[in-house]
Amino acid sequence: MSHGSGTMEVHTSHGGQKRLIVFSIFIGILAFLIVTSFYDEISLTGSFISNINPNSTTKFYAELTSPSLDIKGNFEKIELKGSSDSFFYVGDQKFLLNSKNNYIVLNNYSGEMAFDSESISVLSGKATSVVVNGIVIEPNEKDSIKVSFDKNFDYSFLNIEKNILLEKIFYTSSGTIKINGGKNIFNIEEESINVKNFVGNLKVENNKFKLNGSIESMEIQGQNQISVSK
Amino acid sequence: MPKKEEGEEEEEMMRVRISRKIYFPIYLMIVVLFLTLAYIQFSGKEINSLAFRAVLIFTMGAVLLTEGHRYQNLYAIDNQSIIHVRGILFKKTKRTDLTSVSDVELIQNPWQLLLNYGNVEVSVFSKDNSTNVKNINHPVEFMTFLQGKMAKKHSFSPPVRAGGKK
Repeated sequence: MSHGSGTMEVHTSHGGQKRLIVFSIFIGILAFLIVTSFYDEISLTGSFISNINPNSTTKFYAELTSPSLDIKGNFEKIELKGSSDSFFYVGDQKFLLNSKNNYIVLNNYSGEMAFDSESISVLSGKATSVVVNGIVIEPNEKDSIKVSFDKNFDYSFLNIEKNILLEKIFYTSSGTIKINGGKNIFNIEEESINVKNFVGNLKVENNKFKLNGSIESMEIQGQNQISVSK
Repeated sequence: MPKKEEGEEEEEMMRVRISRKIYFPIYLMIVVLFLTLAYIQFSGKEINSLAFRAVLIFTMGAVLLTEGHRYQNLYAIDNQSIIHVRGILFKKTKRTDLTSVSDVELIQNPWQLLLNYGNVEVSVFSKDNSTNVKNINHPVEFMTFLQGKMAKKHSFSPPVRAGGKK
């Protein structure tokens, strides 16, 4: 082994730039974690609604046959009536809904809901308070509680409010559509309708799918082709 | 503690690597992320799966990079020289003969003093070629060991005769 009067330079310090990059990544992940967990009210639905210009919408009311819908977002109030052999889970509790006329209210619901004309196949999200057949369930310390069905819930009444956004409703339907507060009324029979950016309340009652709010545009394709936009 | 290899007395050696204490801010970031996850879970909120994966990737990346960085540098003192091995797969070894060392200086800021790590600057006669052994644990012990080896090396060195010619 040689032992010359060798020299060495040691570089052990990270550059300030590397530290800044690591810290930026950390802050980014932390912010993402906090925003997605604590501020889930900032949803695409909400931001989309704010982007819809009220001057470009048309008043809309419709009573139609019910489509299959899968909606996500934040809803001020959801009311349900119906029955099921499933359990309804509210936080740590579960309710058997085998009586014929269960009445459920979800306040400030945030999550997913899928339904067709007869049943609700998916309901999974959180609510600030829940009423099941008159029993009020509110979180103790948490500001929301998880709610879900484990099987289909056959409903006779469904009401969702307020200012829900349906970006696109496209299906073949029958019923009545009123535009601009009833100035224009369309009666459709097994015709294809295409509604864009509906904002308002949704109700399903007596097998009627009722929409009350405003739309950006609408097309009806059947015997005649009708387009409505502002 | 720096490792001393005990064999025969003459073979006694000290090996040190960069202290993990310098990665304290990174470890703190990982702890903050996990505490945030725990708080979100405890408060009944839903953890976004993408954010959860990002935390795991950040943690794994941070541990791998810090350990990789730590293993890139090895400092050793044997009876003849102070050795610096750099690299993991491609190693570069440099030796500085103990007889060429003129000064050894210990540098610690208050934070390093508190956590008992620091830098040891090993100067050779040419000041430009001084060696910085940075961020090692127990730098005082390292310096004492180095000075002991230097003293031994000097005492065993053959006397240099004036003129130097036979």
